[in-house]
Amino acid sequence: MKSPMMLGIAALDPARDLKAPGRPDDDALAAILGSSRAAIPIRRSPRRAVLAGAAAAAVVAVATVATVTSLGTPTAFAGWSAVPTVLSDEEMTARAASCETSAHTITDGADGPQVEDVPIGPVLAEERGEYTYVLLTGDGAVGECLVVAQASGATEVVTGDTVLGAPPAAPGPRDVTTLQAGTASWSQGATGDGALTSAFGRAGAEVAAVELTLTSGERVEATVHDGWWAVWAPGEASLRTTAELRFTDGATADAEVAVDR
Amino acid sequence: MVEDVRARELLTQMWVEQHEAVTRFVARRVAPALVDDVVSETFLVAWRRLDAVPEDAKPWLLGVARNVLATHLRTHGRWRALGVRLEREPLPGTEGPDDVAADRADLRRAWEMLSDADREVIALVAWDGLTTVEGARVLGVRPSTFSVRLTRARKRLLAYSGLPSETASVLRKLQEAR
Repeated sequence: MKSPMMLGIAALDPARDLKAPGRPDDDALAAILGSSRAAIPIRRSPRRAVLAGAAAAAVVAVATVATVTSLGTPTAFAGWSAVPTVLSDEEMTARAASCETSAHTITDGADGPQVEDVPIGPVLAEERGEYTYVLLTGDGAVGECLVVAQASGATEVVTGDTVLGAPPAAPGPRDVTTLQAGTASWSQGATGDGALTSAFGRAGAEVAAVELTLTSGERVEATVHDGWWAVWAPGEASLRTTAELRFTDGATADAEVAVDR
Repeated sequence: MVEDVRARELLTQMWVEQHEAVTRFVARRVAPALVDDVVSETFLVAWRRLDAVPEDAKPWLLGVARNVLATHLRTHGRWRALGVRLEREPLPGTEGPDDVAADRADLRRAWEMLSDADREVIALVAWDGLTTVEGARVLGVRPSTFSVRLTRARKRLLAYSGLPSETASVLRKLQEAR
């Protein structure tokens, strides 16, 4: 096979001097190993579900979880507050800068697995203590991203997760839909692990506020912004399935925030 | 589904053994800034599909990398065709004796006249060091098909490299005009 001509071609290889050995402690490998292998993330409590219909879809969603910061200690979410600070669109864009910009699907093509990107962008961001939670959506895709500010002012992704599925149905004006509710946890070898309880979905046009209750009894105010609602709490917490909605006219009503499966 | 601990071992081993090969494969096809992303995405697919990865992982990984590249091409429109790039023109005087330099220049010119498809099969063998069977796996074709393509590509390369340079440049202009 190695004729003089092929050897001559080998010498023209632009990458022949490229050294890129893979090492077991490479960060990029750790990020992959820290991500879920399953269509439905494997370290989720049973109550957490992906977008309705996603499990039945022909495509398999890839959940990507990048873990950088250790949240293994009980004080890790110190400063978390039951009332969020809602961020402006400008701040949201800045803090989402290090979040995923697309969700991926893998489909079986004729010549092997095909990866497809679905672009996602931030629609809601809320700050509780040191942490900012960003909700990202795209065409049939949603993502969550928890970031923390570094000393330099840049943001660092603590955990992120993207899921593909059927586009969410728009709720009635005085109703909410729930796309995800539950606890995600992650681990990355000995260096860092943590857990995040979150819930999010669509909010009708007349929904002004959503208040949820942790199983500990503590009440938590969700953020409602631009037709979406979202809430998150430290991982040890979990959420009750009934939320109180407050409408733009001041009236209130209870709503279920469990995921329909 | 492969059990978790075993899965981590398998992927780590694959990363250690194949990272360089996959990186080189990708680096020949895209701008340097994008190489790491494409490589990571390729191994992410392997992670998700460990059950599907054959024992000889390299052709499978290169095939996935190729699909990931094609996806980026479609999604972002920022990739040129999957054409394999050639080493940049060397500086004069760095190529050794004149006759070697002349041969090299002929070969370079011939290479540039090949179609992307011809270049790809040759590169899989000459640069990625794959066998016919492995190369076929990357492209998702039968080994016999790959063999035929490789033989034809080599014939064209040989023919082009034997042409006087004036003829070659006329031919190239004709090809570019197509």
